[in-house]
Amino acid sequence: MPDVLPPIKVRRGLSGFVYRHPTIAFGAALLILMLLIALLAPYLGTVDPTALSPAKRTRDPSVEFWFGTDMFGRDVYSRVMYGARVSLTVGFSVAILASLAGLAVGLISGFVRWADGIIMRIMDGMMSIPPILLAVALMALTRASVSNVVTAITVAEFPRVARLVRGVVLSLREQPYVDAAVAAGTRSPMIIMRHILPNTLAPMTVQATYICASAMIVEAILSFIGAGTPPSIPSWGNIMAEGRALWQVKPFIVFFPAVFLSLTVLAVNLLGDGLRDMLDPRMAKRL
Amino acid sequence: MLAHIVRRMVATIPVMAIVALFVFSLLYIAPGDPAAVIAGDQASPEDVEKIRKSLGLDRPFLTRFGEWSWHILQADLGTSMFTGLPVTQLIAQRLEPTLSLMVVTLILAVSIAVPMGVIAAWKAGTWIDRGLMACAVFGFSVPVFVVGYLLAYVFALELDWFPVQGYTPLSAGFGPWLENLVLPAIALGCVYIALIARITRASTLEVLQQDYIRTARSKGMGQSGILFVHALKNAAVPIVTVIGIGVALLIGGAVVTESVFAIPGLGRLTIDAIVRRDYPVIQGIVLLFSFVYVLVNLTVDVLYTLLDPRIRY
Repeated sequence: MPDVLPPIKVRRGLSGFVYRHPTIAFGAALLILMLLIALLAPYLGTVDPTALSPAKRTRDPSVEFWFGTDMFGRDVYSRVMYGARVSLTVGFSVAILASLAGLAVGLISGFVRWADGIIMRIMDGMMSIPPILLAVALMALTRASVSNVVTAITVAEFPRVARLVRGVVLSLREQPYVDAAVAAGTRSPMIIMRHILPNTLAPMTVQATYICASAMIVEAILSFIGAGTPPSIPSWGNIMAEGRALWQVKPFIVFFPAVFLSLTVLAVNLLGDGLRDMLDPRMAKRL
Repeated sequence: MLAHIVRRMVATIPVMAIVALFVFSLLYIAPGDPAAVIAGDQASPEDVEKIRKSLGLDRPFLTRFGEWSWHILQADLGTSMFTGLPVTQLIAQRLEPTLSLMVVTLILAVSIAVPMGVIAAWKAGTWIDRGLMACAVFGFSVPVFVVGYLLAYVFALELDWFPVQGYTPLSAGFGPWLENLVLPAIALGCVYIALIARITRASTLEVLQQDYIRTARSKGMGQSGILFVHALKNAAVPIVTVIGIGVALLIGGAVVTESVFAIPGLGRLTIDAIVRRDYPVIQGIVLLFSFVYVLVNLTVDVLYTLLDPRIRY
């Protein structure tokens, strides 16, 4: 039979990767597009996003103002392009910080047995508070700024990572090779670096992408309700909040940032799904 | 069985205590000086001191926590700094709209998402499956208020099928009450539906590969019977778990949805409190919702034993 079937062509290189993992390719491409927009914002035909010109307020999209103008006469297109910076900054920062914080707490919880019970109870308590409300409560107590938003969302998201890392550490502690390493006298830091970290990398990366997507949405929601980035900085949530008063007559102020935000979050979600399918097919079945 | 339920209920008390401790500590772990932030930029040092006293920041942590917990146990959530009214009264006034929205969304989401997931699992690998799961990914990605505005624009403004904003209490009739809640419920439910559909699909997929499904089919059982009686019942545990966990999404999303559709509920109360930096109100709402969330998850835990008699703690 085998000689009757045609030989399987293995596509190599980038096109092969795209063929086998279309979700990662599409998500990554979209995300890179958004990153380029954020980085190259000043060169994309934009004007100063904070420049007020009341004479030109609430114009519909036209050749001069591609996305129209808002109620202060600011060019919506420029604001949306610059807004990419805030959203992507918040998303990536929260993903990285929450991963690091969760890693640290998870490792401590997994290795130091007497601390495990207390830490996990605290994490459970933290996870019982809906993340947006936690972020809202923290933002109510601090001045509006991008760094405070990042801190607030990180605090809300890192318990999940901690739980994940702790799970990996606990399951690995039972493995024979880790036992052997301990018996041979390997110090804990070496065990962490050689055995624990490589095993946590895959699930943590997948989790980090989901946290990034969630952080971008939470930042938009916080800005939308007035508890997020200060109004002087254009972020997609801010633009939508300002456009809220006029949306029944000039819906484009809300819709353009909405489309960009949705596409970015979609990109990150697709990337996360694709990574999960690629890195651990067993996780994919469990979703 | 009853002993098991009581045991689970007792086990939530430490969790609630920790949640209370954590919510209380937010005041202390916030970076910067919360009293100064709440007082505002134009406040004099005396104003800041007054606020500090009212928040209790001048007294030791433990005494303050003790007093606060004692008040909580007596259902006294503090007094609003802005209106001077007790927080409990403010919450009670706004409870019905939020509760209605959440219940309607829950029922709607579960009735759409579970069949969606089951059908996707049944037709796994076909374009129906891919289509439904693509819808699910979109549901995750589009923020709540965007969906809300979109729905309101298309169905309320353009087509005029539903009212654009507002809320009619249940006492004014079931029809009008439901009419005002349909669009907000769909907007709020999108993420929830996406989540439940994905888990339902994954769980049902695993169950459909079991031998007893093949036995049921060989005994001549109809397709819908197999899917919704045998498969669903066995796949139910992860699905119910996610429904419980997803309530956090409902709570968080309700804040935004109420703003978009001008529903006078707890979400609007939160937003107003944020703008005025009325911290006791925010603290009260966060505490209330967290307790509700813990109770919902307790219900889910108890439901496990009903769904799967093999689960015993």
